[in-house]
Amino acid sequence: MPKRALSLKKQKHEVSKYLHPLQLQLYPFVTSGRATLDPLTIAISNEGIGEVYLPSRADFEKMNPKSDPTGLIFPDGAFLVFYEIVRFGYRDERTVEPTIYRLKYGYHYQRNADHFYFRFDHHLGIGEPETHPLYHLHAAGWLPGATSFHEGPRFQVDEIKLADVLRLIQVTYL
Amino acid sequence: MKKLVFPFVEIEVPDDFPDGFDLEATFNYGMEHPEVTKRVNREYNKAYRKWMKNKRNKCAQTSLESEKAEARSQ
Repeated sequence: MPKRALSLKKQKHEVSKYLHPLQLQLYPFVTSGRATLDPLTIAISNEGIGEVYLPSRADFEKMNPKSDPTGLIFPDGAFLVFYEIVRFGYRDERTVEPTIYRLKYGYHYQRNADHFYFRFDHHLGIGEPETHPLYHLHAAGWLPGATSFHEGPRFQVDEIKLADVLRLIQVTYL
Repeated sequence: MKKLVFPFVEIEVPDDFPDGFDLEATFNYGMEHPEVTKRVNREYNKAYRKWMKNKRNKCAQTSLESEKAEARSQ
């Protein structure tokens, strides 16, 4: 069945409609006094690709064991930062209806006091599928004085959403 | 109208805005009401920046005063 063409305006509109509620979803942690929240950084390119970072791309990309708490910060000093790169369209050839889908994401939760972090990642075309599954989880500690995270192993997991990560933090740590 | 009460600002939301930790419901509400979502985020971001600026100014003032006090005591 031929797929209908999607105007760039429609794509941008749908991407915007998806990205902004992600910040809304974090407010219950702040209004209940369980966290503070830096504003999210949202941008939509001329090609209709949307990106959201908590708090910013620069902060997310330089995460390391010595990073100061930022993003969604909990009273015990633990914190969550994340990003999603999304677009609106046909996810694959079998898809009949256009939808929002994530091209990449990373949800990074860090506990400096416990020397521990976990990060759910999704990105295409890096490494071997056996050691670098499309959807994977890093969960590891670090030794005192370490300046970077030990990356492996990457545990294969299902696709996950921000709400799932928030729930995991809520039931485990709050 | 209901209010979202943050430590540094209160933002009005419609009465049907989801309560508590129903994260999926909050997200879906945001998708269905983009104009409300954008307004709430805009007000939050503005108030947050103002709050941070005041906090930084206060910190700078406190450290300046303690520097002056230290200089006086010497």
